[in-house]
Amino acid sequence: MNGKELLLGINNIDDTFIEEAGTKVLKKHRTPMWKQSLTVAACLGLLLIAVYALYPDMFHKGTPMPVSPSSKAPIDAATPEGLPAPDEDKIVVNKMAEQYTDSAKWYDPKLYEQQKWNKKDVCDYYGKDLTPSYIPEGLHPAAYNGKMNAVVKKLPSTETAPEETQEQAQANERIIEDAVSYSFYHTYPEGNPPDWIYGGNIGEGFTLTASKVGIVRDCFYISPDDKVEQSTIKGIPVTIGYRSMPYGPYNSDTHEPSGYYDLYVAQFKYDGIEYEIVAEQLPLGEVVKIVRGVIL
Amino acid sequence: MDDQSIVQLFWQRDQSAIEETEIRYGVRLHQLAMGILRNYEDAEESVNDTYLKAWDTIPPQKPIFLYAYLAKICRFISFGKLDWKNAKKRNAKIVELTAELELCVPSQYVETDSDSEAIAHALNDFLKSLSVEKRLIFVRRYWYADSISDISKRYGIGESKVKTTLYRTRNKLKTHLEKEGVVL
Repeated sequence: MNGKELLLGINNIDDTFIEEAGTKVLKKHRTPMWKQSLTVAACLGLLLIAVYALYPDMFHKGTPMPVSPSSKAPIDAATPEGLPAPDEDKIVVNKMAEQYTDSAKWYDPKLYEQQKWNKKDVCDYYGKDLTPSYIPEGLHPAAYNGKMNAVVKKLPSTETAPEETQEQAQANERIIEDAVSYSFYHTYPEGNPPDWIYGGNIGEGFTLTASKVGIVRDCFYISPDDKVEQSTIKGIPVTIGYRSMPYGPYNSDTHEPSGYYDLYVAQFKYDGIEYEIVAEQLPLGEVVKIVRGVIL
Repeated sequence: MDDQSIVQLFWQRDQSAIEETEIRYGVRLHQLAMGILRNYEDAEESVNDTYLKAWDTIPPQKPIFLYAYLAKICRFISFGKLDWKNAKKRNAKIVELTAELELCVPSQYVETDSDSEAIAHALNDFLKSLSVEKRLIFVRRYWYADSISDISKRYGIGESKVKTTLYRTRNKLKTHLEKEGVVL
């Protein structure tokens, strides 16, 4: 017997267990208020010790407070390790607690049509080439850059008028998903997209996604429910998030990750187009330069 | 429409049974198949095959828990479609689940052939012995193939608690399988 056979063998467990796990909601155990207060106090104490150990200068008068990219405090654009942005840019980094996963996107083929658009179609549709003018050194474009799968909704009138002309059919179509992606990473194993999930290889680079109708997300980094502060780059409001991302392989006993890497996400609207940049293992300064390379 | 009314439609050989099933459980079945296959077309095919299999088996079957009945078929079909040879490259989640369950297999049984019915029987006994919380977490992880973070969000508990619970439950399962000796 092996893990695979056990995984398959589980299929035949009693229906009641499957139903129970599909429907049952756990009652939350309420911790007494005094216990909660004690926990918060203990955490604050530990936090203070950790901050003192990392930044002892912070506790001396007159010394500027160092700002970690994972903090929610604004980062001073003029700091030497900070950003190459000019003074008028204001950069605020929001800490992202976790990555949210929603249900997978699904389009009923009876109502929606998926169209493959090549680079020319995409350029014609957006009215320009969306490749950012700044790409950090050592990053290479992915083969799929600039191509996209558009999702087109066929409006009801197409069903009632089967003999309509091509022009009429086009008039009755509405694009509901037009996201196009551009990836720039150091390597692409076996010509595939960057292998940042499997085998513990974390890609170094970024992916820019753009959309005119709005990016439809089934996995989103900055939740719409989060309270976020906005940065301003070249006068455009930009939401920037940061998370220290764990990566595998995970220890089979302790479930500890192999390590952590920096993940920045920048979201903004410019010139009628919504953009999202997801950058892995790139410093914040480079992320800001990429954003500036999009806002021309 | 409730479960029993849909089952009634199956028994009456009314084809709207499949439409009603799709309306009630289509999305959940699709999510289940997608979680295993990670491929839209294959998942869609699995769900359609599930409806056909349900049509062929109800009657004579009269499931009490219709979703569990359908989901079991869907999971079975989806794993049957899974390209195990290439799963390492294409489906990290299945590789992860398999590796985790590998740790539950007692060393003396690694080289032996298994009987899936016997495994299920042993697992039923094992699941009955668990607390509700541990059982829900275990079934969500290894039956529904949920991620740690999804389980954490679903039950409003920390990811570390989910991991620890799974770790302890796996150890218990290993001991249980050793005691039962059911896999020979």
